[in-house]
Amino acid sequence: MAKRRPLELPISVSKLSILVLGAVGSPKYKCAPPTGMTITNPKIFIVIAAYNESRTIRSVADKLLATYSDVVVVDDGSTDDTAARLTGSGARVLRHCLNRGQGAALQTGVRYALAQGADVVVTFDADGQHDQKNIEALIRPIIDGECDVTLGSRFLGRAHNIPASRKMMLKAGVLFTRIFSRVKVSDSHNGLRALSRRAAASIQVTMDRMAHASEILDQIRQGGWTFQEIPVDIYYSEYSLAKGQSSWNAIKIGLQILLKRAL
Amino acid sequence: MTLFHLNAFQLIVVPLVTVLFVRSVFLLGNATRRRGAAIWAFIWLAAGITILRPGTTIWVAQRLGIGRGTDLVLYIFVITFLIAGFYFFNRLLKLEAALTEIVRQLAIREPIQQPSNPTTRKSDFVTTSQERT
Repeated sequence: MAKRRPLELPISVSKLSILVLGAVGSPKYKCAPPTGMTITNPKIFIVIAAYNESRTIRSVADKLLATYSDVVVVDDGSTDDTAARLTGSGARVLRHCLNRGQGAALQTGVRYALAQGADVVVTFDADGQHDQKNIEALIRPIIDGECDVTLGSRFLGRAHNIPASRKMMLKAGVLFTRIFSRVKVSDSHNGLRALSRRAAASIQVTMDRMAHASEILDQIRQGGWTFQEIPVDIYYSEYSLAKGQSSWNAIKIGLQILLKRAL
Repeated sequence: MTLFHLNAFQLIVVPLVTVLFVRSVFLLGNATRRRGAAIWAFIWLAAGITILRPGTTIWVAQRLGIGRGTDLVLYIFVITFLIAGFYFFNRLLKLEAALTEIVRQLAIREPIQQPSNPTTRKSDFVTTSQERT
């Protein structure tokens, strides 16, 4: 009797399920695995991209400067007095002469921090929704050489006063990320993250505007960087909600990412 | 069809197209603009022929199995526009990336505020004259 041959598909079922569900196993090392060595006397740089944040930037910078000496604020061509607010604060201030978007501003800050000899680079939001107390937990695994990237997660931690619509949008973002970036995270669009020096040097943000969060995750997967998710607190205020992305914008950003991929 | 059976449209457009064609033929002699000139010369020649003898597009269209001459022209335009659209979109992306890089270099080269000496105390931070105003 002729042996029955298994049904041949152009793509294996397991691969298909990975594509559909976006589930990934443990990332394979394409780069060197985590060093496992503690960085002694690490230079921590906090990078903040700020566009018209004169209302919050000073208090955010001051809170950070109480603990960390190297705070880099990139004023992304603000039309208000964001940069002037920081005069005498002790923050390092760079200014984009033209508005180039948050992704571009973060990349500028990261490159500057690396040039100044940063061992760990932390990205932080200017609108006051992040808690500087979370940074310690965020940088610890990197200092200890356990992984190269840590990502803040408001869904492992707490999102205070999060409106239902924002929560839904963020969950949609997580699903989008699982499908298209194939990175399994619980919170894909959190601006609070930390990078080791070598990861920060390898990750190049080219999406100048808001799509950079997805782009960073893409590059973490492509580069094979090891990452951990760390619970963080996000404090929603009327101000931070107004500065954040509307649902319609989120859809536009998603389309932008897909368009860039197609090209 | 003789020269004296031209309709009003042909009488107006054909001299114009002829001038443009002659101009691009002259430009063929210019080494740096040869490629562009050759393309334009071909376009103006094709335009002149199809305006003078509208039957040509039908003849070409039928050879290609399209049928109507106007359809052929439409298809060519659609394809050209799509290619041009992608080309310009790509150019735009490259231009934007270059612009960002310039803005970034300027920002890093001239920080508005940073420690006067990276190893000194926090109180030694300086503000550049640019920001004092």
